[in-house]
Amino acid sequence: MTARSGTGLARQRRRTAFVERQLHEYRTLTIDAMLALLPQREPRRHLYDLVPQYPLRAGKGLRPGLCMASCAAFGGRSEAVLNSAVAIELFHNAFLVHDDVEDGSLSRRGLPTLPAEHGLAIAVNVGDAMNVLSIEPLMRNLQVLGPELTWTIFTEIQHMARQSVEGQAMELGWVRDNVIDLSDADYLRMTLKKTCWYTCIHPCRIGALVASRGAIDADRFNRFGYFMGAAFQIQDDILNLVADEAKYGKEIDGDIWEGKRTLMVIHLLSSATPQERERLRAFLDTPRVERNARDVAWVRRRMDSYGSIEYAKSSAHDLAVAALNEFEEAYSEAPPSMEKKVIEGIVLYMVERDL
Amino acid sequence: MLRDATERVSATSKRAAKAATATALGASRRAVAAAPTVVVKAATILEEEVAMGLRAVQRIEQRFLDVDALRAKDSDAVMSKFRRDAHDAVDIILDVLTAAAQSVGAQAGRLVNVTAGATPLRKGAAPDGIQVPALRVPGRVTPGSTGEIAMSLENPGDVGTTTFTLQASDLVGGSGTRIPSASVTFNPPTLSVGAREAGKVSVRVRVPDGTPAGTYEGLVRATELEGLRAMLAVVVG
Repeated sequence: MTARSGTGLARQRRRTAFVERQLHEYRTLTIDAMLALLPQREPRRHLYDLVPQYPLRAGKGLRPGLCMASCAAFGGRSEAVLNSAVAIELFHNAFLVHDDVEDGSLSRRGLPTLPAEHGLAIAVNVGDAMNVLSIEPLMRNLQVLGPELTWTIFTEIQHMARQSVEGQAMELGWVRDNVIDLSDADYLRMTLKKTCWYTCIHPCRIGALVASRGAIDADRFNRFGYFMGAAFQIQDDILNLVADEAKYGKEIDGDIWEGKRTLMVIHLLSSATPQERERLRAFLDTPRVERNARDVAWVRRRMDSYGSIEYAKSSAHDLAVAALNEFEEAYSEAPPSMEKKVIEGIVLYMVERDL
Repeated sequence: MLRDATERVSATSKRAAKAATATALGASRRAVAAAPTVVVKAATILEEEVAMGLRAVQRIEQRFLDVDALRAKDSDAVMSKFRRDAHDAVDIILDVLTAAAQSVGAQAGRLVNVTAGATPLRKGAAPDGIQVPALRVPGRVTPGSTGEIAMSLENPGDVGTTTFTLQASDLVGGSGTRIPSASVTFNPPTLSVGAREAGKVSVRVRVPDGTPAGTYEGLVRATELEGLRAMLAVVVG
């Protein structure tokens, strides 16, 4: 995000490699546990064979990573939190499947999306199945955590899922109603609800709750998770415009094609001349299939000329720095450990990644 | 709220800046003492959303105090039902919610419902399905002293209330003796409750010297808000 010396770059590479290695470990544990609980029966072709498709694609494993690392940082065992991590990952992948249906996306992590390959109906049902299957590990928590903590985790998940669908509804509503009178605050609120609760805040809360047997004040992770999640989402939106498509795994400028109200679009709307704003409004009001590459390129050029991407980068950076500050507060009672380093490294990793 | 959030962000930043180590963003950590606008906005939004969402869930959990007992008493039955499948899992949540609501009603909980634009009651008609909640000041209050109870005002509607002022009637004892309404005070006395939000009010009853022992009851109402009403009871002695 900023110019760095050779030493700085080397340190960044080492940190990135360290974080990716640790996340991969957490992810492997989670995916293995997830695969073990999938039903081994019919219907396979149109359901159970498709459920692991997204989880097995090359994701970062951020959510189970934060959950399991938080648990370990506060002295918990990975076996104690594994069911919850599996549930979060299943919910996440269910969201992705339904997201691809809602957005009409064609590729996900470098491969065709489920709706593109298997049709809308099958994809919706696979997403439904993932939501239902995520309840199983939460029920298994009963044997590991006992009824009180199982219930606590259940209420965390309930809040997480509800916030996500509410945030998604906000964003879908903006597109459907062609809402353009939006501010940064609207974007930040939508992102908190759609992304941050389930990507960062609840994974950290749940990990620490499990480790402390429910004793920790989980609200201490709210700011940390929110700032980190918002920085992550803004960075993700930026990468949608500037990343290498082969690495990114999704179509570049896809968010512009979809008319998503990203921070860059909101910035452009507030910076543009009345004529440009009207052209942008008309573009956003055009059904996706009728939008054309010329207009998408125009939107992108306007973003460049008004510094909308730089503005978003600066916001992501500010939020990441705030997240680092909050990290010190949220994890102040956790003794120094490798897991604590992982969590701190994740914040930096998320804003430094180039894919 | 914005100022609070700013102060908290700034305070946190100062703490963190002191502890900042030589990392890639070390310089930026110190710079955050200026609390960037986006961070302040985010902090404010989080406060609002937590107040509306997570704390509401926690409030519901608090209302499950009796459900804890329920769980303890028959946790096997609850959990075996919980295990069956997703539909039953949803069912059990509904069961628990229903049980909690009934229990709260039966035990005269301190939760008072407020809804903007509530239809005024027809004269003499009992509101359908509405139970008037009771506020019972904990313990016994001796004459000359003051009892206090917290009242939670929850607005489940989609419209915020207008600003209203809480008032109490005289509290009347069995023998007809009264504790005058002026002895009942509310803090804050005036408030509004946003859509799907909750407000807290502290109700204080000062029992005048010489008040005979016994139970005294009266009605709490609000100006500009027909739907808000609760029974207030205090045991003197």
